[in-house]
Amino acid sequence: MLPSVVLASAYHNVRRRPLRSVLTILQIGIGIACVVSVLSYRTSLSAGINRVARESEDIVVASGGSETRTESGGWIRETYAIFSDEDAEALLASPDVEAVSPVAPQALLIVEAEGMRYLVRAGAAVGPDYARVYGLEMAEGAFIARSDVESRSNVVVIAEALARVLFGSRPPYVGKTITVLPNGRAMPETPGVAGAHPSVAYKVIGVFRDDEAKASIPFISPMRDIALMLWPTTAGPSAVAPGVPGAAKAVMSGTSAAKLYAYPYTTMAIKAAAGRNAAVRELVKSMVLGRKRPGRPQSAPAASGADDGDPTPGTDDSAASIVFETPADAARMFMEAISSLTLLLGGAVLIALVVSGIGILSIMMVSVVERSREVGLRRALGASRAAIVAQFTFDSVALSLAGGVLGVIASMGLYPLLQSTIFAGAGFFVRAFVTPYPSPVAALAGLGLAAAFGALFGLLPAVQAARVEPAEILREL
Amino acid sequence: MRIRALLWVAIRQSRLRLVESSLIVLGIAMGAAVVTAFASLIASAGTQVRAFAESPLAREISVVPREEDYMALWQTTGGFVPAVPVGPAGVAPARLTMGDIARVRDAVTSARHVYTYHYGGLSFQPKSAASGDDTGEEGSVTTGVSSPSTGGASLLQQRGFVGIIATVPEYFRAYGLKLREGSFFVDSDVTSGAKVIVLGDRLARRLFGDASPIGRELVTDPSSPGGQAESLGRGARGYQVIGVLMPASGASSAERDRRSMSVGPLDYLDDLGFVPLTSMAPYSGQVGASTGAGTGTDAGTGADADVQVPAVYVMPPSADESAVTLDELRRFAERDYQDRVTIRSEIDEMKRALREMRSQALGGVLLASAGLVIASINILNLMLARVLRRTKAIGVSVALGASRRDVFAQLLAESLVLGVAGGVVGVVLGYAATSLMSRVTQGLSASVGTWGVLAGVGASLVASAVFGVYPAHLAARTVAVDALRRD
Repeated sequence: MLPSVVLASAYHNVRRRPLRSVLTILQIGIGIACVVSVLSYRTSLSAGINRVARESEDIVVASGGSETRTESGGWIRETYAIFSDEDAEALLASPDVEAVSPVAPQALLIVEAEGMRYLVRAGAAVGPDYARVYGLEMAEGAFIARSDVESRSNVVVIAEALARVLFGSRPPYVGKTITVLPNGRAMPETPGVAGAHPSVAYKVIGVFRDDEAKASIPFISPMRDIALMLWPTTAGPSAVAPGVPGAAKAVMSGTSAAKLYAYPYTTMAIKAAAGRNAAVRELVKSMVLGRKRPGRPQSAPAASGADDGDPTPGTDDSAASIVFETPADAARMFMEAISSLTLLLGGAVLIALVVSGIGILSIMMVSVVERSREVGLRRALGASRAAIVAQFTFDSVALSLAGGVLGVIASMGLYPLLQSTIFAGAGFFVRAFVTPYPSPVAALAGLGLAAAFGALFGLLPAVQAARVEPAEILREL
Repeated sequence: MRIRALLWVAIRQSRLRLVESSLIVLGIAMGAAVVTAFASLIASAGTQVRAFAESPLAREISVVPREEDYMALWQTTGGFVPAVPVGPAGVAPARLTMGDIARVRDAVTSARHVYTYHYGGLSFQPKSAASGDDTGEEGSVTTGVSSPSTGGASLLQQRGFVGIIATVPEYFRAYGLKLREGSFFVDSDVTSGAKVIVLGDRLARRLFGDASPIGRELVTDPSSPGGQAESLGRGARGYQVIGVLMPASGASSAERDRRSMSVGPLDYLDDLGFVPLTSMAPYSGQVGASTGAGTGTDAGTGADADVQVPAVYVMPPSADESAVTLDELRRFAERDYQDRVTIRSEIDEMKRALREMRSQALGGVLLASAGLVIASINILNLMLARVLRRTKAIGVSVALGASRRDVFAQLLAESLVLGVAGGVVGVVLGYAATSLMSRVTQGLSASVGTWGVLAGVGASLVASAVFGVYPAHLAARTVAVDALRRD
């Protein structure tokens, strides 16, 4: 059959029953609008998260300690300090390691700047290579340098977002002063109690650009929040002259903010060479092999090597173990958490689509019955069965495609609406990832789905139409 | 026409076009199933919220120095906040002490309980390989179920890491916790920083099985914070068990089942241990030389008035009176603490969170009803086609004396029959959908309740009625002469 005939016939049919066609197009339109919205949400989210995961694939964060899952599904992490400056040097000597920095995080800092006191989310004492490990870009000034560490100077590097809160949107920020107060809960005023330290004034020497996307992904333990303030490991309250055996402190996660840290270090952040994440982990494990958990009495000789914190029963658990983290893993875990929501939404939307397919099916069936005379005539005049099937299927596809186009247009409005309602409530600051408008990929997929559904659900009625016997129809004429 | 006749004709008409009618019913059923599942989800969320609102957790009001108000960082919705201002620099940070507890208790007369607590953890030494005794004698924590089959037996049991609430005796009264065995600790224990511990129900069972733990000792692990403070030369490192609690939710496990909840709001307390605030770091450094001249008086007077506490918590007598208590407390805080503390009411926080969730729910309703709306448009479409097909028949009945109302009622009845059938099937499908859904949303164990059924059937009824009106109206407008003239 000539395409022109098919087209003309379809057009004619739509015009004959305009209301019916409009209603059918509307059905598909609603279904496709929902599908495109949810699909857009999902694709933009995973694209964003995958980007973050890719960029942090080579970062290995190793902490002495172990992690357990509790019965109620939460996590408990014990950490202890087992890394030294020599370890950092040993790691750097390996070709698999590009940069190493110790990290002593402190969450919930009380600081004062320009006459106001603030509660800051997170900070850390770090080494000069930290910027290299995490790929920090300086917006102003310079990062902590080796000379700063050696001279034990009280300098600090802060995130742009923090600079704006503390000092207003008026750069330059370099040269300003931030005073860190002792953390109230550590009750510093009682001398002799671990954790006592006076307030320390830091000079801002650099401001780094923050990546809102990376900052939006919550890590497992709150201590791993993005550090907004970074100072040298030898500065301020963490200052213990290297070599002096500071009391090794265990740090608790998730609950109390009694952060006490000293040298040796609890955590090392390592930038592995491309693709060498696993190799670096092995390197760290072998380095720690045979070390003891600080404070443990010497009991049976350490048989097991350091593992990821899950010794089999009966093993000597005075051996130190390591917990590894890669920000990429956290990103993926975040993705899984989001998945349940999108699964739910996807299910509802899929059902809507199937219902619209049923709509096409039923209306096509009615249509076929109504047009049986037309079909009989055409068959009698020589049209083949295939031509009839093609005709009806085309009618159905045309209607669905029109519905698809309507749906895509409608999704331009539906998507932002859903974004401000359901999607926003996913609760993990997803705004950094999702686009304000539906993605073209999702729109194309929507159109494709519309056409596919039109073909699928239009086929059965079309076949039914083709089965009409011309003789019977002619008899009734 | 009588109702029964109406329905009978409607059903017969539907049976005449069985396939078409089945498709309509199927479409509505699927749409209604989604509505049912969604409504059930919302309903069970509501039940959980209500249960929480009735528990002491919700009534609690906290007074926290602004420098310690960590919740402020997480208050803002949809934004990453690096820091929050807490006041002017140069002012000494507000510190709350036991004395403040007493002051608040005296000033806020409508409060039933005033107390404090700190949520932390302690690591207890596991059974050492040397002592091969499995019944957990003095000086160790049994390793619990560490058979080879549970190879990766949770480190929790091996290392004995336990969540701890360091608090004062008033806490138990505030939360309505009852003893199964032994006794609570008393105010003089807080004053002297005594190392005693009361175990939650599940914790006691996990550590000691069915044996009575009273009198046993739990030795702290030196590499843990609690242990650390101890090794700085403070003497005994063990906590003596002096009591075991009953399950925190009381006898309401049956009630919980009735409300189809798997976890009561206070259940987490069963896994915890309770010690005097001053027996644990970082608060243990405060009592020491001052030997608790424990006169057994209320904590906050005398020797321990200066002991720093993390926050002051106030429990109003009931949810309804919490507003009164909050008001009194706010006025007192304004007088005595100026702007230096933050007062948080759990109920208010919850209400705020719920209000934010309302827009979420709205969006959810939108998506959930999409299927039903599409199916309703389908009804409209097909009913119109039916009217068209039956023009002649309708014309005949009009000519024979049927009134407009009769024709209208007839056609509307057909729509309604299909709608109700779809709704019923939809609710059945909804059961399947809901159970599928609860596997995905781990938090809410949803099951189809009355709300779900009502929503499903009601929605399909309303939808079919609304969308069936127009075709019925069209049919009623048939003029007999024109209709009969058609071929």
